[in-house]
Amino acid sequence: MIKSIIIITLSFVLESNLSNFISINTNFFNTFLVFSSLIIIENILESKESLYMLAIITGLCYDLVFTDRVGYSIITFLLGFIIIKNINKIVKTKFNIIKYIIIIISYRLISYTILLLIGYLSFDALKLLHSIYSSILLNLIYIIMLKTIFLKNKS
Amino acid sequence: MRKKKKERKKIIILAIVLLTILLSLVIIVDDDRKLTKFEKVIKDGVVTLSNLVSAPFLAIKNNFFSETKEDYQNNLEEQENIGLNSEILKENEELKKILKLNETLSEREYINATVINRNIAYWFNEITINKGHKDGINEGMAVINSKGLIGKIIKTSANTSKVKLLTDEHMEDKISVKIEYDDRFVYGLLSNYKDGEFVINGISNNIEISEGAKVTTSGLTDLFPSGILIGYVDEVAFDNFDLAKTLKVKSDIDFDDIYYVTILNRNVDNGND
Repeated sequence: MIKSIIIITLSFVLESNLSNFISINTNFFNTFLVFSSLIIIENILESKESLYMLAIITGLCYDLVFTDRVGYSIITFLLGFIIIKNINKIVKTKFNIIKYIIIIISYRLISYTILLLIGYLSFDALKLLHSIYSSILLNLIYIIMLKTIFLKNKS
Repeated sequence: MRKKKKERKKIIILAIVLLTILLSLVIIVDDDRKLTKFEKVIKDGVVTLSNLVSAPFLAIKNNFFSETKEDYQNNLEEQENIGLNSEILKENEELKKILKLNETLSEREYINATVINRNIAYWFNEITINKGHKDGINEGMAVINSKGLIGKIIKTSANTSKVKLLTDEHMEDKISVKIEYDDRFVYGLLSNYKDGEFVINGISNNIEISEGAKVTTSGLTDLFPSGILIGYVDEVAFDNFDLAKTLKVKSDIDFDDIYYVTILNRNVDNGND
């Protein structure tokens, strides 16, 4: 549990400070490090209940600190977390990178679809596509770094 | 039969829960929703801590990678002179004397701030700045930088504020602008932002607007004071029916790379003296 809290805190700090150095909506430098860290935490925590609780609390903190829309990230993180669990079950491959990319794409789709359903955004396929391809690189690098540091002994 | 009934019940309950969640989200996600006291306290506490952690990084960025505060101030003054040249300032003073007006559409005070978070949630097109209502910032105030108008304040806490950027689709059709041509002005509305340019529709065919014409805020709505630079006309085209002109306006602002901002406190009452 302590490892998970350290990872999430680190992700919050990085997500906040990185935006001051990188123009974050430009190609290839779009980040959602806090959600990306949940992918690694899923491998650390054993209990299902604590995983879901952590996703809810992380989403709540994310909303309070960054989005000012309490509830939005709770739902997106929870749904994203359910997808992480299911993709880990369904996609059996040696190459974890493929799984991570699928999760990243799914998270972007979920967050966009929710806003589309409630009428906050209008449909723009190019904008969605841009958000997806610009998110993959940096988030993937971060996930791999976390995996290397915190999951050294696990496969 | 029983199983089917049970399953049907489950589906109905799930549908009701999903609908409730979506309806709640409609209220939660609304830009006009004010922050509760609890949210403000948490946000201010976390941002204060975050500022301590990020201070060394910002010091590096300030010294090596971005425009300094002095450069920003000089560029801001230059931008203000473009938007409100000395002729207009002179006319303003005369008007005020004649009509004994305390305020005009272009009156404002300035509050400088630094961006602490940039559009982290991606879809909302917002930035967070390090000044809040204890610094005199209120919702609805215009926000500019050294290159022109960037947005307006939508939420405040004691120490921070959230700025909605002009590029967001919720800002469409809300910004009244004036376009210079032949020492006169024509008025229009910014209708959307696409591929790095603002679009103004519905300009009369009889008006000859040249490329490079200056576009500024008109001050005719409660949103923004007049004379703030938006950009310059990049392209003039006819609409699909050849009934009116469409202007594409290029702004020099990189909305993904904003560091210093200035908040304008517009002191215009509603005419009840």
